[in-house]
Amino acid sequence: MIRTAGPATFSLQEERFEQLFHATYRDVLAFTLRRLSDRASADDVVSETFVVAWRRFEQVPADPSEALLWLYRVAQYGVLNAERGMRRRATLRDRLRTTVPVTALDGQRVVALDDEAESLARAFATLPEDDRTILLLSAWEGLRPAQIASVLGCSSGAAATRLSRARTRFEQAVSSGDEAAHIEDDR
Amino acid sequence: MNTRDPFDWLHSVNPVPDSTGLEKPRSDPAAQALLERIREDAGVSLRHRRHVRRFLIPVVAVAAVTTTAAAAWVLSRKADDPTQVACFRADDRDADIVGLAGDGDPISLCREVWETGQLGPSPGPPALQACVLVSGIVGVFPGENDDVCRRLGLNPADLSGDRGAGSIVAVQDRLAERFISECVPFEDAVGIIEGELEDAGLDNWTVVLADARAPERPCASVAFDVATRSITVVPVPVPPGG
Repeated sequence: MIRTAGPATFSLQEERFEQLFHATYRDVLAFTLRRLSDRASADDVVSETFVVAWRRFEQVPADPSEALLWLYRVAQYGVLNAERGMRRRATLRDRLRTTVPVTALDGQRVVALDDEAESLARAFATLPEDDRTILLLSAWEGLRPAQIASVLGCSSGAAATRLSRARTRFEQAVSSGDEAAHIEDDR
Repeated sequence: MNTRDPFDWLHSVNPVPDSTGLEKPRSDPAAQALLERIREDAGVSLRHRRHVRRFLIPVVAVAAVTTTAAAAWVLSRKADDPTQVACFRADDRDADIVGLAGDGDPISLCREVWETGQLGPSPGPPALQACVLVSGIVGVFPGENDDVCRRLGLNPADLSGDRGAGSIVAVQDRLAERFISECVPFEDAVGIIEGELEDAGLDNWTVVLADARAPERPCASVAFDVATRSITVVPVPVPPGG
């Protein structure tokens, strides 16, 4: 006799969960480390994410790629919670500044790049939170609009539009910053 | 003035460009601690799991100084949970699974699944091997011999004798049918369950009474826990039509 679902499916669910855990743990940890510079906070968010995944395992997509996007969605909430109470924009700007690559560059170029990075980071920090979120999903996780849609819980079309608008606003923010710097220099 | 594309810049300052540079979860203490916590959250008996681990360490040590044939015999063991089988698509612990709850020989059960085409082209691989997974259930993998289990870090399953699944699954079916179809008074439940266990020769199972009895829950339902070999009697309201 074969039954595909029985009253005692617990062990099998655990087996499937462990598969998911081992397949996605590093990606989820990387996702949180990119957004939270503090390793302990990142570990906490990863922990919460997988606990939620276990408790709602029936909602986790069976497809591994889709499951990872589902985990990113949960982790994104965790990151936002972890950032609550912090001076978020300043924190993120500082984080971006410190991650600018400076190796193999001569001194003059490093200074120039630091200035440029500073203005880009400042412009990025002026963006609305939704814009920053979608830009980072695209730039850091390399997600396409359809995948971003899964993380944000919107349609693919809406994700594509929001991404496009966010990129435009980012460029505008950089231009505005440049103009302000020129005015400052001319004084 | 900025000369770089802002989006390219954002991409270039990714603090963790590649997750494969991070510690693998199997060797990351934080990951292992998290997994253990989730197992606790899930209600898995840690005492039981630790027992399995303690068992494995000395057995592996013995195997190292015995012949291959002897090692194969020593390493095989019974499944902790004989009521379930996981049929794997490939000889890989991360491969897709079709899960079964049923009685009978695990390899025959998974052979049936392969023949339905659910795991790949029918009739499937020429040979299947049964191993005991970390969760204590039997996993059946494609493979010519039980080396596949050892390669995956698992024990070959000892399928000799009565797995016990037939008996407990049959008891489970009979009790479920009765307790769902009518309101079995809570006071009568223990006697009925013990009678079924006795008839099936399952004298190593125990019956546990749950708390939370109340006048509005005069009937009984049953919950099986294979890990502790216990059946819990749970008070429930009168079923519709009962």
